[in-house]
Amino acid sequence: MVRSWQLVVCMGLLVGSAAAQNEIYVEPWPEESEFSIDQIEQTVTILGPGFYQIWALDGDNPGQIKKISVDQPVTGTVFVSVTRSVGQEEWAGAQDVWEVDLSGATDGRLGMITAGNYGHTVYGGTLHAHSASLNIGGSVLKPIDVASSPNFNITHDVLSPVTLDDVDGNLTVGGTVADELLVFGIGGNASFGSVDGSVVICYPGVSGAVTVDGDIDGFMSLWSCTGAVTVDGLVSGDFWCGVTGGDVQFTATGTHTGDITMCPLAEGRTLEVLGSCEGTILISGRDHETTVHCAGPVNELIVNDGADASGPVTLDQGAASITLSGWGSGYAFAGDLTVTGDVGAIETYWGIASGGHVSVDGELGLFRSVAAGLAGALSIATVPQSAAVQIAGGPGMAGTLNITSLTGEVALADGVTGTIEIADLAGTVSVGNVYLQPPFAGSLNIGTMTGNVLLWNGFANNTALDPDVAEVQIGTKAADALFVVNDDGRNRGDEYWQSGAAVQIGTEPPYSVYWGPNEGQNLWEASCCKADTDNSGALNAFDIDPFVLLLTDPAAYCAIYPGLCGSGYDPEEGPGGSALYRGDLNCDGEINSFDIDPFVLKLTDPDAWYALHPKRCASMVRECCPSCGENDLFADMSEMAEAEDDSLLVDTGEADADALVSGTSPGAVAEVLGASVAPEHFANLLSLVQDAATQSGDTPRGAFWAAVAEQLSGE
Amino acid sequence: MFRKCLVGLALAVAVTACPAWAYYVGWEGDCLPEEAGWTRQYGDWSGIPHGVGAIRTIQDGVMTMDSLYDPGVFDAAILHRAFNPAPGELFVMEWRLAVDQVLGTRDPGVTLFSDDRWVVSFRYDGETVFSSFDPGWSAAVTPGEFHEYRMTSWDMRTYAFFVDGELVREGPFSYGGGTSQLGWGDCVQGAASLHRWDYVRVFTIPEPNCLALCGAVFLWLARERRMSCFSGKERKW
Repeated sequence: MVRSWQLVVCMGLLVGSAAAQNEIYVEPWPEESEFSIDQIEQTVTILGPGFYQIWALDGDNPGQIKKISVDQPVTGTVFVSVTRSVGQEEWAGAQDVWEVDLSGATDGRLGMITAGNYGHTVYGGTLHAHSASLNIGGSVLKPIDVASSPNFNITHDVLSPVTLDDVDGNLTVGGTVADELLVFGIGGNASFGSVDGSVVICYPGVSGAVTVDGDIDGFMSLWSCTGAVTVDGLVSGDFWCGVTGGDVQFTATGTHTGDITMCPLAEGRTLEVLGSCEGTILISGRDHETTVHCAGPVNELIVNDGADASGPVTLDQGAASITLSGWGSGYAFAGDLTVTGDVGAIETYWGIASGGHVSVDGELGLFRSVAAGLAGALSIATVPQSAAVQIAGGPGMAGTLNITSLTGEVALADGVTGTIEIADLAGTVSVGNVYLQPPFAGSLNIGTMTGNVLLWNGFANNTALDPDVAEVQIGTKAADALFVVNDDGRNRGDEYWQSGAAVQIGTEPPYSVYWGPNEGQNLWEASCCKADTDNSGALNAFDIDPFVLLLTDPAAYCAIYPGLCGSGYDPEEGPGGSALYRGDLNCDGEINSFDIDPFVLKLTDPDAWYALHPKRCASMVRECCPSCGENDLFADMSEMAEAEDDSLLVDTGEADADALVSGTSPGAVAEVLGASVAPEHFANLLSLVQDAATQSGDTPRGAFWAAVAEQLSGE
Repeated sequence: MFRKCLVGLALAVAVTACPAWAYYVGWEGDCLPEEAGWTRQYGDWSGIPHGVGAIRTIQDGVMTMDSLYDPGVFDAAILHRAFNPAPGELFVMEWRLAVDQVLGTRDPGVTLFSDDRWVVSFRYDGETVFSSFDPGWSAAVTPGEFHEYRMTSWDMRTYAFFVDGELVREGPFSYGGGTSQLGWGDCVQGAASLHRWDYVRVFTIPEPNCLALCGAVFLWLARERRMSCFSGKERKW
């Protein structure tokens, strides 16, 4: 009795939990294809080439497949399909496929497709297998979607989309990723043969290292990488990498035609590109010290730094374009950019921070700082003709600018308190072209000067220097090289060449030191006077000859007054520098016969002219120039602006003509002009006056100038 | 025979006097496994179930399985239940097997799926025994002779494997597949074999306070076997 009771209980104990049996089925093609099924292990072992449709049932439900493998070398194609489809052609597929290893076949191919609920998740028409380890000897020809896998190995190509939700171990693709490979995190290392399609490794990225043996012709994106990244091939597509904890190296010495983007490198890490780059290298989000090294020539380098970024950026063979920018206001480049070779352009929006350094050991086409000045150091070997260094905006240039050879232009917009050193100046240094900016207050050291230095906002005493040290030191100066403290009418009086500011010429004592302009040495200071065409600082009859010359032969005028013509006379642009300011009396931007009326008005009644042109042809309000007879007619700037707004006819010259016609007589004007003009200029003067009469036609102005011409002819 | 088959079942009940995590399940070769509560799974290339499975004969406490007549045949005994040992317990699985002939890469074997899908599986190719999911090693066994095999595990993640009392491998389980089942026999479709099973046992070694009772049960079992199944062969526990 006892044993019978035990039997009942024990049978229940043992078999009461019995479940439906998991059964695996294989349908091969051709039928003679060799394989075996271990129904207990739930494995399928493929022994020969062929197509294998595999499914598993557990009762009426999809069953388990622990492993599908090619255990021994198989020559030929092994195509395994685990397919779940519901409809005309019904396949059970499998609930889970835990491991696939077709690496034993010379051409192993895996296709897993489902049209129904397949395992853990449904992803459209793609099998979502839970694969403990997926090893594919050949290429992936059909979509694969794997929930998790300690290791995922494909020895050949990825020719269909593959999605891996989580790879705990390593991801290996021995061939080419020709389609899309999407991975949500890799716990170990990742390696790829080459990338023609796209490889996107999303959050949380790769915990180990990443290697790409071949080329990246498609797109490769790494959310982040804890280890090193090594690409042995060339990039013709796009390579994008988020935070990297290790070094990043592109070892190929050929030409990358695609783009390489790093954002960013971890602190202390290095990006190294050994080849040349015809695309763009973008280092974004640099917020600490990192190293960037490009051994070959680079087309475009963009370094987008944070506030605390620094570290060396080294280009061994130049670059076509370099952009140094920050994330926001004030994020100037604080690193150390060293370029060996030529650079087409370097642009930086927020300038170079104090402690930052940019060095170009070659020719530089353009350096431009857009919104901030130069607080650090800029060193350039050669700025050739047509090249330029432009530092605009911001707090000015408090740093150091060092140029070995300058035949192009250095244009510093704001106040300069730093140091400019130019060994060989054959081009132009121009400081200040923005209204009401402080004068040049830095130091300028020039070895050999055959070009020009133009200080548009004045020349200040550099109080930081020893009083015995000249602010501008020129070793050897060509006679025709211009040093001009320019006058564009924006300031006045002693603000131009301030007392105490000096120019020293010569390298050995005794030096020649000039504390003010010396036109014999071509050291110029232009006055603020409109119509002061002889730069005497006063407006008088001696300005008539130069004015007539300026109207009739500007090249000859500029030959006589080179310091008033900026960098010289341009046949197309006309006289540059302050000559335009000086001769454009009706403020229309040109020097022509319409300037005669206001010129005469300016000579005869400066206040009347100033009342018509309180801005003195500038775009913003400015003060008058007392040295040329202008008096303060306006109580404040706003009143001055209103007056300018009321004189709407300045561009036509009619306002000046009306003032002249109503204010004086033709005879008086003829007397002034005729008495002052030199005999050799008289014919030109008469011609100008006749032109003025003719152009005005039958108007009061025409009649006025006709009368002046008649008076002049009569004399 | 039926009485002898009850031995294992009775033992399982007996150990229920111990805490629930201590169990013993055994098949002693005196009856067909399905007569002892195991589930038979068999078939051939024509279907599952189909045909007669392996040709099984029982003599002197040993079951002979012969599938040489058809490589498509498989025939195994399956047991579904919880196997994992409780913390501190040792899981033990042991069997005595003689493999006379194998046509193919593998055929007879033992597979255990733990309660949480960790699996260990041993297969025989006629000359060696190896772990299917722990590749790279094998242990030589003499064809046609019985060997005693024991696998033990504390955590169902790693195992120790003994052949004739000698440790030959410490290796890992593999993750994935079915849940909580033990299968043994002629496992593979696509291979054929002739082999003989003496016993298959699976149990946990319980906590020390149960050892005394379990020891008594083992002694009783031994006595029962000696009385009813004595065949003159030496048996070891």
